[in-house]
Amino acid sequence: MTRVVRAPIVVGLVLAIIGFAFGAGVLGAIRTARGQSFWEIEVGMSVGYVFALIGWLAGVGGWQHWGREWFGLEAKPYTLTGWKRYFGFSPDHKVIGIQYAVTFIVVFLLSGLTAMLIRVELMRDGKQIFTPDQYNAAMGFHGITMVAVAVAVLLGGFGNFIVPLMIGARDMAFPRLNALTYWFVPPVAVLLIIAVLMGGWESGWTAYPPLSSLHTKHGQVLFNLAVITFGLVSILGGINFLVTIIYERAPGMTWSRLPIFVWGAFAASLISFFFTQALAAALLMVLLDRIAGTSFFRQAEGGSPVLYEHVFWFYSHPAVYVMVLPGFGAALEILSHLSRKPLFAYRWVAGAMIGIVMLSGIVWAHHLFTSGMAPYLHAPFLVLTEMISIPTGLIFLGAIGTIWAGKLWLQTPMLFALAFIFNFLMGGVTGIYLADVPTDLHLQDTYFVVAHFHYTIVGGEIFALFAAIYFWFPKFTGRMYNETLGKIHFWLMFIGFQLTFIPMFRVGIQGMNRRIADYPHEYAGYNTFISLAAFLLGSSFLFFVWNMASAWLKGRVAEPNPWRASTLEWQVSSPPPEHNFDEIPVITDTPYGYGGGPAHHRPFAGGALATEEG
Amino acid sequence: MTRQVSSASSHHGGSEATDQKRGLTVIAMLAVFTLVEYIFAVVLDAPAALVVILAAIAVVKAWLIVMYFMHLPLVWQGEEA
Amino acid sequence: MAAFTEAAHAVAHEPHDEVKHVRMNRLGLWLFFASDGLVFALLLSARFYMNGTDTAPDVKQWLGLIITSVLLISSYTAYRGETALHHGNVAHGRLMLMLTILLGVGFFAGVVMEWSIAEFTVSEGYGTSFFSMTGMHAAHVASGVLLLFLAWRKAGKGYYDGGGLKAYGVSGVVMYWHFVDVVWVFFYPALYLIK
Repeated sequence: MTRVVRAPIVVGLVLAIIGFAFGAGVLGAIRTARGQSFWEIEVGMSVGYVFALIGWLAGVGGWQHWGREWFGLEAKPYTLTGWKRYFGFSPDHKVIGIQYAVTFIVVFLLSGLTAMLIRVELMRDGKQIFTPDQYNAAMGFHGITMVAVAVAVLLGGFGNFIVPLMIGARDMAFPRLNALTYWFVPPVAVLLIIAVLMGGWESGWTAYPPLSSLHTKHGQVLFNLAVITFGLVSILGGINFLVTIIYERAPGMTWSRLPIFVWGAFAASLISFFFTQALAAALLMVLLDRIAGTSFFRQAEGGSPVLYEHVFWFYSHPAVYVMVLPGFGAALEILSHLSRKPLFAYRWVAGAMIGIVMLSGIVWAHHLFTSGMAPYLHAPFLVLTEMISIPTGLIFLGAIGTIWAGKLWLQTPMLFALAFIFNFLMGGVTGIYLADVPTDLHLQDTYFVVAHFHYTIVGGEIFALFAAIYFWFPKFTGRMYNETLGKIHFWLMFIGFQLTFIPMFRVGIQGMNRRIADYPHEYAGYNTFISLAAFLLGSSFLFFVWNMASAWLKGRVAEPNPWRASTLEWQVSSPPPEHNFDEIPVITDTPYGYGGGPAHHRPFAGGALATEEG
Repeated sequence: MTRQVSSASSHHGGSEATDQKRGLTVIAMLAVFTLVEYIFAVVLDAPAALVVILAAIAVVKAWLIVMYFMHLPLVWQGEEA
Repeated sequence: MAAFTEAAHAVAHEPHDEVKHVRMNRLGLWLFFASDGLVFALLLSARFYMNGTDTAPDVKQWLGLIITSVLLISSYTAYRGETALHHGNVAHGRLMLMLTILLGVGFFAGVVMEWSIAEFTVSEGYGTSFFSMTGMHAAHVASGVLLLFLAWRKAGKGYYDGGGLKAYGVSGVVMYWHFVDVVWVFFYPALYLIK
C-alpha cells in the first residue's frame, strides 16, 4: 500500500491538487480583499494551474532528484527499476524516448479516432452525430493533439532514444532536464481532455481572436494553458538536443560524419528552441485579454487581431519544419541503409536542412494573404515562400539519388520511406498553389488546404514516423515485429491515405469550406467516398496495434543489427545496455560507407559489424 | 571539442582586484549612458530622431552588459580549468 | 543503474569533464536566454505595432529613473558578488549577493508602486503594453530574486568554497540576473522615454 502511495505519479497528483488549491486560494483571498468575488473561473483556473504544474513536477521527481540540490540537500538516487522506470523520473534517454514514443502514439490513435468521428459527421450533408458545437470541439481536439504528436513524437521519442546512440554519447547533455521536460506532457493531455469535457472551445487549433479572446467557452483558457505548457516541452527539448549534439559527440564524430537523422534533429531543434515561444506569447496575449482585461486584440483600443496572426504564424509556420525535418532525417537514413547505398549528396542535404531553418523564419505571412495584411507584403512573402522549395527540392533529390540503382530491400520500413518520397512530392507541389497569392485567394480556407497540409505532415512526417517505428522497433524492444502484418498495415494505410486526400483537393477547388460541420448537398458524393476511404485508412492501425503489442510481448528475439546497418546504434545490443557503450567508440569514417568494402562507421572493439564482416 | 583557449580576453582572468575594477568601469559607462538617455528624452524634451538615439544607446548598453557582465565570449572561448 | 551513476560520478570528477560540464551548462543557459529573450522582443514589437511611438500617458519619470538606477546598480553588485565568489572570497560575495537581493526587491516594490499609481488602465491600448511588459519583466525579477537567495544560502553552506568552476552555479544565477537587466535596458526607453 505504501508503495502505491509513494509512486511518483501519485505523489505528483497529490501535490498538483494541493498546488491548485493553494494558488486558487491565495488568489481568492486577494480578490476578496479587493472586494471581488472569491472565485472567478478563468482567472482561478489559470492561477491555480500554474501552482498545480509546479506541484506536479516537484512531486513526480523534480524535487527528489533535482530541486533538493538547490536548497543545499543531497539529491536522492534513482531507485526505480524495470517497467517502473517508465512511470517515474528517469534520466536515461532510452527510457525517456520510450516514454515520449508510447505516450504520443497513444495520443495519435486517440486523435485519429476523433478524425474518424469527424468523417462520420461529414459522410453526408446535414447533421449526423454531432451538434455544430461538438463538431468544433472534435475538430479543435483533433487539430491540436495531432500537432502536438507531430511536433513531439519523432523528435521526443526517436530523437531522445536514437540521437545519443548515433553520436556515441552515454546520454543527453542535461539528463535531468530531459526527464523533467517529459513530465510536462501529462498535464497538457489532462488540460485538453478536461477542456473537451467542459464543452470544448470554438476556435479550432489556431485560436484566432476575436473568437478566442472574447468571452467564449471557458475551455479556451485550458487550451491556451495546455499549449503554452507544451511550448515549454518543445523549447527545453530543443536546447537539450542542441547542446548534446554540439558537445557530446564521440571522438572522430565530425560534423560531416553525423548521420542524417542527427542533422534533422539538430535543424528541428534550432527551430523549436528559437520560435516556439512566439506561439506561447501569442496564446499568452489571448489569455491576458481574457483574464486580465488587456486589449491586444481589441480594435477600438489600438489592438488588432492581425497582430495575433503575425505572432502565431511566426512560430506556427516554422513548426511544420520541426515536424518534417526529423521525418526527412529518418526517411533518408532508412533509404540509405536499405538501399545499401551511401546517402546521395550528403553535404547538400545537410546544408539544405540548415537552409530550411534559415528560410523558415521569414515566410510566415503567407498565412495572412487573405487576412487584411498590408498588400505590399504580399509579393515579398510569395517569393520567400517559394524559395523554400529550393532546399526541400535538394532533400527530395537526395532521396531519389539514394535509391537510384540501389539494391532495395523492400521490408516494411523501406516501403514507408518510399511512400514518404511520393507523398512529400504531392504535398510540395500542391503547396505552390497556396504560396501564390492569386491562387491562394481562391483556395484559402477550403479542403484544398486540408489536403495539402495532410499530404505534407501525414504523408511526409507520419509515414516517416512509421518507417522509423518499424526500423528501430528491434532496437527499442529487443524483439522483431511481424513482417506480414507490417506490410498489410502499409498497403492499407497507403491506399487509404491516397483515396482520402486526393478527392479533397477536388472538393477544395470546387469551394468546399474547411472547419464547417455541414456542407451543400452537391459535395455529398465526394464526401461519402472520402469518409469510406478514411475508414480504410483508420482500419490499417488495427494491424499496427496488433503487430506492435504481440511483437513486444512475444515476438522473435531480435539480433543486435537486423538491418546490417552501419550507424552506431546498431553496433550495441538490442535493447542497448544501460550505459550505451562499454567504451566510447572512436569514429573513423562516414556513416554510409556502403558499396566499397565493409561498411564501417564505427570500427571499434566489440562492434557487431566488426565481427561479422571484418 | 576539448580545445581550451587560454583566456586572452580577461573574463575572470585577472586578479580579483583587476576584475572588480573592470566591473566599476563598465557600470560607470552604463550610468553615463542612462543619464544621457534621460536628459535627451526628459530634460531636453524630445529632440529630433529621439527614437534612433534611444535605440542606439540601448544597443550599446546591452552590448556592455552581455560582453562584460555576462561573459558571452566564454561560450566559445571555453572555461579555465 | 547504481553502477552506472557511480561510474559517471567518478568520471565527472576528472578536471576535463568538469570543464566540459560547465561549458555545456553555459551554452544551454545562453540558448535559454535567446529563447526567453524572444518573448520580450515580441512584446516589444507588439508595443510598437499597437501604439506606434506614442508617448506614455503620465508615467512618472522620476519613478522610472529611480527603478532603472536601482536595477542597474543591482547588476553591478551582482557582478561584484560573482567575481568575489569566483576568486574564492565567499564573505564579500555573499554580502554583495544579499545587496543584490535587496535592490531587486526594491525594484519590484517600485514596479508595484508604479502599477498602483498609474493613471491609465490595463484595457487602454497603452496600458496593455505597459502592464504586460512590466508584468512579464517583474515576474522574471521575482524569480531572479528567488534564485539569488538560493545561491546566497548555498554560498553560506560552503558549496562555492574555492571558487573557479565550483562557483559556476553563482555565475549562472547572476547571468540570469544580468539578462533581466538587459531586457530592462530596452524596456525602459520604450515604455518611459520615447515620445
